[in-house]
Amino acid sequence: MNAAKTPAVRAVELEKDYGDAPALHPLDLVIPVGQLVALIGHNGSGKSTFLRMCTGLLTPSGGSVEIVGHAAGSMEARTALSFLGDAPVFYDDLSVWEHLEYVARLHAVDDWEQNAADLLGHLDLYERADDLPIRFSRGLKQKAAIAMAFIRPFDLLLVDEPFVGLDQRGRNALIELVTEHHERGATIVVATHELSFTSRAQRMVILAGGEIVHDGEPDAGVAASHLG
Amino acid sequence: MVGLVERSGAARRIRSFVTASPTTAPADVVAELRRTRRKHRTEDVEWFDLAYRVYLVAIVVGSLVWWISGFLGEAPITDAGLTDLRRWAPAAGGLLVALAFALGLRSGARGGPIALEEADVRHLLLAPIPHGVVLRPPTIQRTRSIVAAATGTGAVAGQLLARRLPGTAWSWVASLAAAGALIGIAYCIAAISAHGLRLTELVATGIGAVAIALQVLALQGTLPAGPFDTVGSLAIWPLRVRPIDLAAVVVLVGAFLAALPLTERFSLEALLRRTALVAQLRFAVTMQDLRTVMLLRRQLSLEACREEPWFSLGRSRGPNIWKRSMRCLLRFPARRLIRMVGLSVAAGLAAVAEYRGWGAMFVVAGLATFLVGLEAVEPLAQEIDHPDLTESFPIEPGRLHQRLLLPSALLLALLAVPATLAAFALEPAPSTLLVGLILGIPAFLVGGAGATLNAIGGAPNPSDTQAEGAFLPPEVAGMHLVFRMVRPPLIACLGTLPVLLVARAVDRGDDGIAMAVRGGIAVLLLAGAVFWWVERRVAFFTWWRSTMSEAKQSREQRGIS
Repeated sequence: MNAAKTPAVRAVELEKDYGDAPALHPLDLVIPVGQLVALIGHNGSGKSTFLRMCTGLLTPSGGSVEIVGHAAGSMEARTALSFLGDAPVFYDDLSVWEHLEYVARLHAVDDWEQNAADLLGHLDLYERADDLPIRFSRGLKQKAAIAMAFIRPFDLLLVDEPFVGLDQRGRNALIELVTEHHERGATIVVATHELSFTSRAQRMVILAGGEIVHDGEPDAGVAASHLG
Repeated sequence: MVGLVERSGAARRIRSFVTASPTTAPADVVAELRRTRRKHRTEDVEWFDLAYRVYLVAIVVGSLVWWISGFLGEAPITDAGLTDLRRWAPAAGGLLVALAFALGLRSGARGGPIALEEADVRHLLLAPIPHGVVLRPPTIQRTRSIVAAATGTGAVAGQLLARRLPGTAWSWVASLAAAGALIGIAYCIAAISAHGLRLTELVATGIGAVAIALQVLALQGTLPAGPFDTVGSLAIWPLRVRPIDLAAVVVLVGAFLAALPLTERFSLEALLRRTALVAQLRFAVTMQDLRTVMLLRRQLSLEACREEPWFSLGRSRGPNIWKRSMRCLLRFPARRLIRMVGLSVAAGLAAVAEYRGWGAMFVVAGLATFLVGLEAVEPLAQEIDHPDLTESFPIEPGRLHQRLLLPSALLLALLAVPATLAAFALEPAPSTLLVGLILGIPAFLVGGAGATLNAIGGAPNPSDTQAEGAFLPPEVAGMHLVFRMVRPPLIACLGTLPVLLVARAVDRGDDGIAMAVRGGIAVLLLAGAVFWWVERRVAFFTWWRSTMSEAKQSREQRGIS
């Protein structure tokens, strides 16, 4: 396999249905390495379903999806992919710091402490490092989840509705992190309703009713016309 | 150690990990996390509280065993009974294994047998660690608890049966405990295999049905032996020892060890769905909220109402509330209807066992009618689930609830037919059909009455100071809570007691049918009383609350003066 030409994401005839209801019609999508993609669409358009199939959390009803050349959910794909979901998930009995240590060490990051401290500082969460995130407000939970997504190495970052609940400083901090990692070569896909983010992306994919209705340069006008 | 690392401060200097390197699986990190969390949990345990709970469970289980033992009696079994036992016990015990196997297959097809924390699915199972490393320990732990529960149940059954059977109590306890353990293992093997092999629910149900059918044919004598006979045979070792039965132990333990690697293939989607629902399910069980348990169970098994009703009522003019209730029943999915018929058959078979002298089976029959009732009163339960809508209707809620029950009562009466036919299959006499219907229809109606009480009672609300029982002194409040929980199934069980009366009348040489009519009328009166209560209860509680409120005001005024 030619690693240089292997895309970060390759979805072929990928589809998903929940019983009678189709969530994603057969979809083909290739995202080259290093691209920053804005995936936009209304609620129920299939954004989260697509991202979750890339992570392996959902099993496709048909077709396939590969992450840097490996089947979604495989060990290699899990090594390469970091997922920041729309609803932060934490253990009831671990502090923010313990969560970061845990995730970092699961990914065999040995010298994680300084980076954890820096990330928490960047997200204004350093003072809460020893608190249980399960008791946080929605916004603070989102910040803790962001720290967990960035504490580990990745080639591909999938982000689902990242701005929900974040204050302006939190939004700026997240955008800085995304930009920095993208500049260093990571592939990043951000699913969002927020049209303002599309101007930062290199590519805009619009989903509607489980189908791609636009795939091209970011264009606020096009996005607005589809999202109404 | 997790969480004890010294931190150097918050500098604005984020190191960027861009290129992920494939890592060797840090399984030791998972083990360390589990140790740390276990330590956290142990630190949080209130030992006195735990001891008190163990004490309560011991009291309840002990009382239950003592109560059931009263029905089993102590008279030694007859020679004919012993011959029957030797002949049929292997196939009957095998049928229990087949049932456990079928249930396990269904559980596995729905994502069982384990339920992880959502955080485990999202963080551990998305990390570059082999899934088997993460999933094997909880699977083994789950197997351990299921096997322990099954072993305990077997041991209790052995202790009870030993009073009527030859052989020492310890030999019966040991052999039935071993059989129980194997039943538990069979359940877990089936669940792990169905999940790991990603069997669909249809295929899993089909395989389970074949296993049950083979075992039923063996029980009938059509087949010389069933696939699980050896486990049943192991259960009667105190009567006769067959070393070949030990093969069941070897095969099942071997199959379990062979199935364990299939955890690697468990579906993340199924685990994630199960994770959320099982957490809610546990909470609902803690709250003694049976209705929520039912709803979550339906979600867990993806059991949704039919888009199209079985047949349309069209635009026919008719009583509106009746039609609303009928529309609900007509959208029951096939699997729910099949389950109801299955429970009806089980009630019929238990009633025959009750008639033949196993008096305690009235509880099994009663619980089966109660479970059928819980499904049948769905139109009422839907209304109770949406009190805001009910309050907006220009009709007194009690009257609305009462009218919603009429189609449910009709359905329950029809469900007495499968029970009667099942009883007829075991007792093929014309009088069985007659007595079956005379007793069956009221029994199912009273099963529905118990379910109705459960639905209108809802879950206990500890914060409602106006609730029934809120004014009781603390010494009585606990008993009141237990009574409130037990009352619905207890009423349902009363509906199957007349079978015992008929059996005694026949033993005495009296007219069994006359006794059935008298018993049936008594049970019908009980169902009627509940039906009446559904309408009157709102008025009663309004009166009760105003009386209590007046009494409180009066006490306060006297205190002031």
